Amino acid sequence: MNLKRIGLIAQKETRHILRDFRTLYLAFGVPLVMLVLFGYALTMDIREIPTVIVDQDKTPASRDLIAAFEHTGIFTVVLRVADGHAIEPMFHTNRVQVALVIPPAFERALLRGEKAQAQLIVDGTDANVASIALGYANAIAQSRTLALAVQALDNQGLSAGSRMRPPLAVKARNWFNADLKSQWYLVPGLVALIMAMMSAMLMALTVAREWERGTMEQLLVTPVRPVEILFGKLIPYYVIGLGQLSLIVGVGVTLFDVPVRGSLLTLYAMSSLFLVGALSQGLIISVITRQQQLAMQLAILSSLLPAIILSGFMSPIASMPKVIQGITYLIPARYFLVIVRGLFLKGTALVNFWPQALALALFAVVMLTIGVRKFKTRLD
Amino acid sequence: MLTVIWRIMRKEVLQATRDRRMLGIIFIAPILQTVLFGYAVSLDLKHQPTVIADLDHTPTSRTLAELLRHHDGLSVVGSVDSHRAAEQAVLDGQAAVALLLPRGLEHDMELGQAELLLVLDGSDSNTALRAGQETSQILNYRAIGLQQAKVRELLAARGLAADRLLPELAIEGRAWFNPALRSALYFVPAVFALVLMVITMLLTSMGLTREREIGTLEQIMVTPVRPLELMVGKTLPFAVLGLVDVGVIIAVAAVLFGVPVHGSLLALYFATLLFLMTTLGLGLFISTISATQQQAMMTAFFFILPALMLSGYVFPIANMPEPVQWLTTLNPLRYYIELTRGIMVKGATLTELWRSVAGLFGLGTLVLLGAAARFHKRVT
Repeated sequence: MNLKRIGLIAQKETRHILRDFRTLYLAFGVPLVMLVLFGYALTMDIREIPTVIVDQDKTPASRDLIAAFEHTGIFTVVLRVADGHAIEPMFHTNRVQVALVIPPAFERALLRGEKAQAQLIVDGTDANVASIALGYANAIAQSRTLALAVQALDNQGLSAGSRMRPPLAVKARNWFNADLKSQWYLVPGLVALIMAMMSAMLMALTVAREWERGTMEQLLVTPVRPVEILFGKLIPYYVIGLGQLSLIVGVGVTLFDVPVRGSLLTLYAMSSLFLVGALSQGLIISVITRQQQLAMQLAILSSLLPAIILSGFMSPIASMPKVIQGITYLIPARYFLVIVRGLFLKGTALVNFWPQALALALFAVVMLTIGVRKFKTRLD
Repeated sequence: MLTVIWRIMRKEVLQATRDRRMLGIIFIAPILQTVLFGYAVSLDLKHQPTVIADLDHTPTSRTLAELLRHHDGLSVVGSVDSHRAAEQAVLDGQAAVALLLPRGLEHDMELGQAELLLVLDGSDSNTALRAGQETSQILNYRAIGLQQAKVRELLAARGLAADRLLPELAIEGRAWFNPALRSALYFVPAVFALVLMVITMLLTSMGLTREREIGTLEQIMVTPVRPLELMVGKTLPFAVLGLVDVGVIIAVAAVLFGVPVHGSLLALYFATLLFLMTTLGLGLFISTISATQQQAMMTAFFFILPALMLSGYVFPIANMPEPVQWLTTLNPLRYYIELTRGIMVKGATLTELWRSVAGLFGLGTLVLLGAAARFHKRVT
């Protein structure tokens, strides 16, 4: 290997990148747009679920129940109708997601000390919203029942009634992210996502492009050796990757106050391992396919999708079926995400995530070795 | 004109299928994505590692701890005998939830002033939020149940009939369209949009740019082929592939996840055609502003990622800030996902969803005509 020749190839590749200004521009534009969206527009918090009220009782008791729902801040009453037939079309058009149906004689049942039953119908399409809405309904039913019991005791002149409070206060303390800001959760995830995506996809196209245009043959008749071409191509994209990391960290810290509680140096070192692996993965794709459209598709399937879905970014790995959980062990983004979250939010030291670091190192070494091998045999 | 279009299509299909891998990936991609989104993406809380520190050692504290053991959302991985040890487990990442039952809990509950603490790993803020809500709901539910039992005892001791005096307010919850609240029903219908965007938008834009990149566009331009013929011939094969993929996804979703098409299949295909107008239009447009395939790919992603985030796919549109909500009305993805979810899961009709149909049609016409005009100008 000749460092000077690697440098020359890197220089050539850099010129390519710089000449194609828009690609470079977008390499930073895409993460920036994602950051702004994550920071200002997107939240998974559920609030203001559009709700229709079907009050067939129209009594103080039914109005109390409706008020209890409104009081949660989760439900927003957008409509009141007289009968329940109109609910399904409203679900179809997404006008409402929840319907609270209070049957006639609701209050009478309560006054008689019987069981009064209301109904909460939710649109199950969004299972997440639906289960949260149902959870709130349960809690409301419980606390209303208790309040009614207290009232009944008071009416009987039993002083014990007024002392009946909800007996348990559950306090939740959220570590590492006390206010549960979703930006704090999304920004570290974005680091893993952008790196996995950009490096594999950009890299996958570079070598395939040389094949498509026929310039690879030209390179091969020069004294440059395949390994040197490979490293020369990796270096500029590695620099872009670190640039993207710096952009995300910088914007995250300044605009969204995302803390970096661990060591920045470790963050860059770990990101380098991940980058080398991901870039080499893109390179392997490029060498195998020799065709840009195909390379792009393979890169999406093998790098972008797993990084979003199987890394624990979109949904917790513990929630996945066992077989899929097994597959996630093969996804480097999974390890990288643990490290990045640890370094940003928890201030974890390297000694505490050495298994993950080891996995990343292994990923980098294996991918690079396969990359070099494939590249050589393909050229010979 | 038709024969010319036919010939270009033949050339395009031949070119695409000459590489069998391309054909393979076009069918494997939708299957893989449906499987991943159906199995791996779930916002339900499941098996979150939990530690319990019970310092009270009373029947009450054991009852509360037992509740968590039987809750599907949590999986108790250990019992420790000090609060410090429980907190350490969260710090080390061994547990995401720690329940601290303090000494004197039972006694305090008698007095109605008990307090217990949940420590949550906030670095995954969404999961922490869910875990906190669900756990405190379960605990409160039981605590209120205990309280009610006490009231009954009190009344019985005075010779009063509890059943006559204590009303019960119950809310029966029902989830329509998805009684088991499975996330797959929410996410699988959105896979259509993902797959179609990659196949139609990315592949067409790269395919057309490729001709320019390797210089074959000039060759075509000197033939009597007219721009319109070139355009139709180049995009139609991808549109057909997209429609075939829709069929593949419907089949996989039905067989593997039992996600049926409740509405009309015809309506689903009609919606898909409308969506294809925008994706093909955008693909064409991108090809007119890109010089290399890498550029085309990056430009397409610059559109795809924000469109995905602002589509209501994962992040509910109702939670976005008002101006951003306005912005989503320009997002074809939003309308298409509304349509696929409505038609597949709820059995909604196109008339009911006319707003989304109109939105998609309007955007599609605008984009397709604009892109066609631009393409025409660029090529002549």
